[in-house]
Amino acid sequence: MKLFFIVTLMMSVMACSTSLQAKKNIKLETLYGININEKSIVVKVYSFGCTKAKDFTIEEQDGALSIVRVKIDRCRKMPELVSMRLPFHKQLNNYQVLNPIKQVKHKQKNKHHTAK
Amino acid sequence: MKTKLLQGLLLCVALISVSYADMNPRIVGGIESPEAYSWMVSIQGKDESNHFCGGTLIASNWVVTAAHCTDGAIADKMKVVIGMKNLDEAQLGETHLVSAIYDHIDFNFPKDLDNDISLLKLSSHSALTPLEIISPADFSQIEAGSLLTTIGWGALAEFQDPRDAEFPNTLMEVQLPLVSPENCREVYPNDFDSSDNPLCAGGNEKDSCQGDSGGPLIANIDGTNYLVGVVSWGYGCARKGIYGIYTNVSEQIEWLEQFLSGNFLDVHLKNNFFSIGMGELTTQALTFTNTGDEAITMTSFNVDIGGEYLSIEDIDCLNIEIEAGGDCQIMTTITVSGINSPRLRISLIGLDTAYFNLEIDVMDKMGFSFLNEQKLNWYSSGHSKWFQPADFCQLISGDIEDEQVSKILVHFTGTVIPKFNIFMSSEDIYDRLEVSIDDEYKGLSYSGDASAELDILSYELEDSAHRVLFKYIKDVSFSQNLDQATITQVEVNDIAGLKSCEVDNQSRSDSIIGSSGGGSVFYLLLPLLLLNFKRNKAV
Repeated sequence: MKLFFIVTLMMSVMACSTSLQAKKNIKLETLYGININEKSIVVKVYSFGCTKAKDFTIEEQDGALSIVRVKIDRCRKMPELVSMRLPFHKQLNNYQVLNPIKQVKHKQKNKHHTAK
Repeated sequence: MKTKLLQGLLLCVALISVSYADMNPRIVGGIESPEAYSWMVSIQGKDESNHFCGGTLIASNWVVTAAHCTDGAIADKMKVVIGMKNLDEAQLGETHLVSAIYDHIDFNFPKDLDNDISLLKLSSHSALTPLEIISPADFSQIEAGSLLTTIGWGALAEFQDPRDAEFPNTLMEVQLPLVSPENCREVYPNDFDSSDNPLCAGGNEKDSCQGDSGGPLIANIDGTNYLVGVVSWGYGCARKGIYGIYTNVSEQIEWLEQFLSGNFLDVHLKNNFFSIGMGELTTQALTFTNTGDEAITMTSFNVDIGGEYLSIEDIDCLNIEIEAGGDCQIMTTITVSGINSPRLRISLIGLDTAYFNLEIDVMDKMGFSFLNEQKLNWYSSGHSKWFQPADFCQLISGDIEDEQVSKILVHFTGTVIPKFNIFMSSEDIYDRLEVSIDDEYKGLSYSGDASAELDILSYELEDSAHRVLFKYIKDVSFSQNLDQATITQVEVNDIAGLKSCEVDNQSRSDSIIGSSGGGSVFYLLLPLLLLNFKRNKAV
């Protein structure tokens, strides 16, 4: 049930994110995954070694959510995907996410992969 | 007609290509290294062999890199490859495992990325020639504008999307002019104040980039190469007039020397991370191991930072010889109020001084109506805290993601000895609930779809204060079942008799199973050998 909710939410988010993003003028963080829970939003983003959860804020306007990076990661470690949990306590039924959402490609030679 | 159209199209493509190349100088503006360098290091995941940072061999078993490359990393999970040129030809270099990581004691302090330097101690000695570190006197002679060289396997150009970034397999290098601290501060006014003397280089549309962190910045003086900096950070890569920032190695000589000198106090603190409740007074044992090859004698123990939180109760090993591999234990009491991440630093003094930061996870006191009247104090922390659903006599781990943790601590005293019933609904083996009793992990781990009974009476605890820490931990991937741990019941056996949380057990179990879509509930009996597990005085 939980998985169904997440998948449904992901699909609706992906469907609306592109058109809604165009209406907003700021450059939003590209997300490589998002999971919305009752108390928080977990996003997957690229880190260059110094990305922390406190580097992001969640902006909400007219039912539209934006995950905004308020501090750029200027470190020079190899890029890697990391999960960041951002506190968020509002009711989520009618929210849409404006950030672009992309899939992870598995082609990078030096990309860190962890598999079981 | 078709031919002219094709020619026009090709010309258009060529013009676009030239224009693109002009905008995207390559490594950034550099060349392929003409040779492999005996001191150049690729730091990689041990199993994945994925390069993630550069480094420099500065002694036969020491590699210097950037602290942001190693912050939070585990030595056992990384390796270094020294002296290779092509990442596909690791066999041409030397591969060494890492036995210990020493991040700079003041990494990220007082400002973010201050002291961005760390040392990797290798498990074995390299036969290759290390790179010499520049002395402060020699560094002071290098004038702004002098050309320095940085080397690495980092991105060939700044990129917008990491998925499209181009990373070379072959080592690249580039010459960069040294920039005066004054000019650098002007470019980064929000990062440096007038008292800072940052080491900056570039601005000529050449630069290091992502993947180069930890690698060297080198000065060639009279034909000899010296390490002057460690690749740290910068705004974009190779932007005109924007400099790359490097950790100034000549300013870290004293810190480096404590490891590289023959007097290095090779001591390892077994555990420097403690979870304690806000305001809770806890006794903590700090156990140090002599990880060197020779016996050492420690003469003094100091609390350098955070003396208001930590006090020493007993030291059993000052002024006596500790054999190689031997332990030394210091009993302390720690109590923290009003702050979640206190700074705490201690030092051991022998022939040299070894410094250790203690990481204290101060857990928030929780208002659970869960046998609080029995003097059970509950605390929680982690990526998501444990919670008690309304009208349910149970505590559930917080909703966490891969590689995250949700912790709950219960603190009880005297003869009040609880028995915990646990319901697990997680991925088998990998996602798990680990239980520590009085700060010692006794191998108690629960996972899968099961119930278990943790009977602390089995542990023959002393009649004193005790603490049980439950950590629900998720590994790197995959979730299964409800993905949570639940404490379904706590029975407290005190003078007045057995008491437990008064909620109907059947309705509680039904609710758990129903929401998971079904699942078998069975009891795991604790291994009988645990019945004889006695608590160590040390913990």
